[in-house]
Amino acid sequence: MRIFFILLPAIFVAACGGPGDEPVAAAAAEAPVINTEPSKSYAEAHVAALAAMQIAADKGHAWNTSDQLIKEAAEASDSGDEALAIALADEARIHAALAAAQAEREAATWRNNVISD
Amino acid sequence: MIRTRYSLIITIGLGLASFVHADPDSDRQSLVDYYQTRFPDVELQEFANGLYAFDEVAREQWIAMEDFPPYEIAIEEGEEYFKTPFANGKGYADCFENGGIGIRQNYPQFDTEAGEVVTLELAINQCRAANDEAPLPYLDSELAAISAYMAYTSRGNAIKVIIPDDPRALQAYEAGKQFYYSRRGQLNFACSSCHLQSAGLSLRADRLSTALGQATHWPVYRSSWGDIGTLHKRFRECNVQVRARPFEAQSSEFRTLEYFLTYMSNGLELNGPGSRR
Repeated sequence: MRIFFILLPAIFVAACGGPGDEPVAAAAAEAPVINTEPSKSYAEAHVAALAAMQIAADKGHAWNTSDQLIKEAAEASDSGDEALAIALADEARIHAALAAAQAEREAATWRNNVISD
Repeated sequence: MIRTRYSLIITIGLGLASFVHADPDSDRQSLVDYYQTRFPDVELQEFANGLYAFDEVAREQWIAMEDFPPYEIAIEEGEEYFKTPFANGKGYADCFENGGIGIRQNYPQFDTEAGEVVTLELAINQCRAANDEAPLPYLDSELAAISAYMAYTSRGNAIKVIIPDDPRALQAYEAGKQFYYSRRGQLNFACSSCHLQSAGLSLRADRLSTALGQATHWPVYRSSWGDIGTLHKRFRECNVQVRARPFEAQSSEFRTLEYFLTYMSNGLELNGPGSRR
């Protein structure tokens, strides 16, 4: 169930489009494949999340949800809750991967929203 | 042979056509036509008043608020800051054409030497730097107050943003246009999702304003801020509202966005500073 909610934005990203149609369908067909397997340790999850967040930021599409999740993950780790820290850091990584996918999709389809082009 | 040649010409023509997009003036005219069709009872110049152009209830509240406008103090403070000389004896008036009076409508500008968009707030800080003064923080109310005073002296002037004959200027405009139409954040909204496709519709207690006229009235005193702030402060807030990480005020992303957005309001009267809920 949790995975469904995590992937909900991805479904939204893939399904929502502007006035255009064909490019949106093409983008939906190329929906991003995102690793949802839990990390083995917080250290691993943290490093992977930061790397994914940097990619999204470099593409100019970082989500602030990742920023909040990675902060909460660090707090959970500090308080000794390794399982929660891993889950939150993994979620931060998934959000960042969705943000990067959004960036790629928008780079290809943003003109569909323009009324004059 | 002739048929082959014609086919080739048509193929090349169609290929080129797919890469040709509307020029800035066509973009602006398309927006004007779109909103005038959507809001047939609203006069073109009225779009400079944002949602107050078509929301009667909000308009009444706004007009009442304008009796004692909350940005008045910022104008007074801005004038004082503007007229206070720098340590070297010079002042802001020495940095701008016409002594900085009545020029707000010409910003943002494209600096062909530096190859970048210069907003009024950036120009204010460039003026300070040129006179060995420390820059003002871009989200600071002092900078917004100076900008508010300069906007006040420009009221009634028609917005006149120019895209010079320089491919970098058109590139900057296109970058701003791309930003405006690109979905971002976890909520997957573009600026255009709210202010073009959903303009006039209600979002909780507010109605969404139109892209046309969005850049005419800055800086703005927003009741939700309890302070006066710049357009980039609002851009940041929009980013956060769609759950995107906000860009820095005066980042190249926001400057090109302002360039595009203000160009769309060319011809509308500048009416800043303004007040909004």
